[in-house]
Amino acid sequence: MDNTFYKCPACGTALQYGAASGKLECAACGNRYEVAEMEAAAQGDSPKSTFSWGNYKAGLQTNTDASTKVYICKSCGAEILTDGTTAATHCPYCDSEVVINDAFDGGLRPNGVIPFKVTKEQMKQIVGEFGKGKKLLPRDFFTNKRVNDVQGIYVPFWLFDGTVNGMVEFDAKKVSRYEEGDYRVEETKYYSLERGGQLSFRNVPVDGAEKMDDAMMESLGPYRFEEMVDFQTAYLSGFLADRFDRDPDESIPRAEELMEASTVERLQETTRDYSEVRAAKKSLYVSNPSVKYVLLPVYIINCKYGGRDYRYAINGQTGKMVGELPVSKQRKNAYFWGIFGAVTVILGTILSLI
Amino acid sequence: MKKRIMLLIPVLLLIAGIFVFQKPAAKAAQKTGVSITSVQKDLAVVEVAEKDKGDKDEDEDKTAGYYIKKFLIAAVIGLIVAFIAVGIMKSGMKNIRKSSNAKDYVLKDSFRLLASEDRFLKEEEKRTRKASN
Repeated sequence: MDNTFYKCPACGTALQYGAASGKLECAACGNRYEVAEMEAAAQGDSPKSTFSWGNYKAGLQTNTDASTKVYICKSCGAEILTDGTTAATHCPYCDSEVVINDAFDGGLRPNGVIPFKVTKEQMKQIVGEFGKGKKLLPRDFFTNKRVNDVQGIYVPFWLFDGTVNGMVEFDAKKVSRYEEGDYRVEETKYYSLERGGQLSFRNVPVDGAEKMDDAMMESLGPYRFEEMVDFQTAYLSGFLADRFDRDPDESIPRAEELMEASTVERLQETTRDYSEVRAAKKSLYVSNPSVKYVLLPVYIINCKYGGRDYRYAINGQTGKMVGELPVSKQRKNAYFWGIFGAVTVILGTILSLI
Repeated sequence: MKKRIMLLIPVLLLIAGIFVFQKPAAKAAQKTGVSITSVQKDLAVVEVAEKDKGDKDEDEDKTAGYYIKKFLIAAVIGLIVAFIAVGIMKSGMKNIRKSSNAKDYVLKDSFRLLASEDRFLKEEEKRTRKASN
């Protein structure tokens, strides 16, 4: 007879099958787990994280609003959406010409949108501030023309909610040093620490646009999601919206990675009495998962300098600007040799007088 | 071409530095009769400087070599400072970084520690004899 029984990943108590829920239930902490999920975890050689997001696609709806216009970029293939009153002429990604796509396909209707709060005037100020104090930035890099041409775009994001439950095993040490007679003694005690718990997340964003640099989009956060509203096509007036081209299934691993890292860090905070604490084994699960499709406001600035393309993004809600500024070779050399000369002369004089 | 010239300057400074530092070392070694291998040259400078501490070298005190030596030390420090300063300036030109966690999106007060167990595995002891005076 197979006497397999499952332990709660969060607290280690034996799980019992709940006839009413059809799930394995923990009497101690109240967590519930899918049978298949626990079986899959039990079959693995060593405990590892297995996240199940359920049928999240049920919460996503098709966009049937025919007033939405869809443009296609001839160059990079980006599909740009806007409302009936706004005409898109250039692609916000590659600045190439866009053409209207008559075969309307609104794609998915976003579950929410954060409207643009930063005006174009404020944006100019933000750009000015971004370049301030950057001594190696070429003068007049951000020309007025470049800033005026900037287009606000709603970038598609997937938002992940869920509670991460589970157990993490840490390897840890305690080192004490003392003297005993003629000897110095270093005593190292090795421990295995088990921590089980749960941590809930709301609105972990992962961008759904392939053409957007992931690191850049993550640097734009955090957004204030409490200001998110239900999507209406009217919000697109005067702005463009990119359509997601990265399925949520492709974005899930990144969301899991971020949520897992935070959970492990939070559990690790309870091991402060030890040194050199390292997560050795993880067994984490997500409960109450949900996925939302939302549009978040971003201003994109594309610049060319020294034969290289530079892209900047501004959070259209908080005004945070991110990007990599070009380095002026002349200014870099001037600073290098200026500092070198000044230090040499001043220090050389002082040393000669000593 | 310009780049090559700029790279050449620190190299020339280094060669000049070696030349200036070597001369007094060899000179001092001749005085004390200490033979120097190329490996020992730097060491010899220190040893000889200590031996001759009492009667200070007049020509090293006053000659151009003395000042060149001091300025070369300053130039090497200047190079290091300039590299660090420009490096800091360059690092400030980029603010794109991938997130390492989702801490900005943690639900307030949602953390619950449900299990905590510390297991002692083993102990190691290292003993080293104190150096006697």
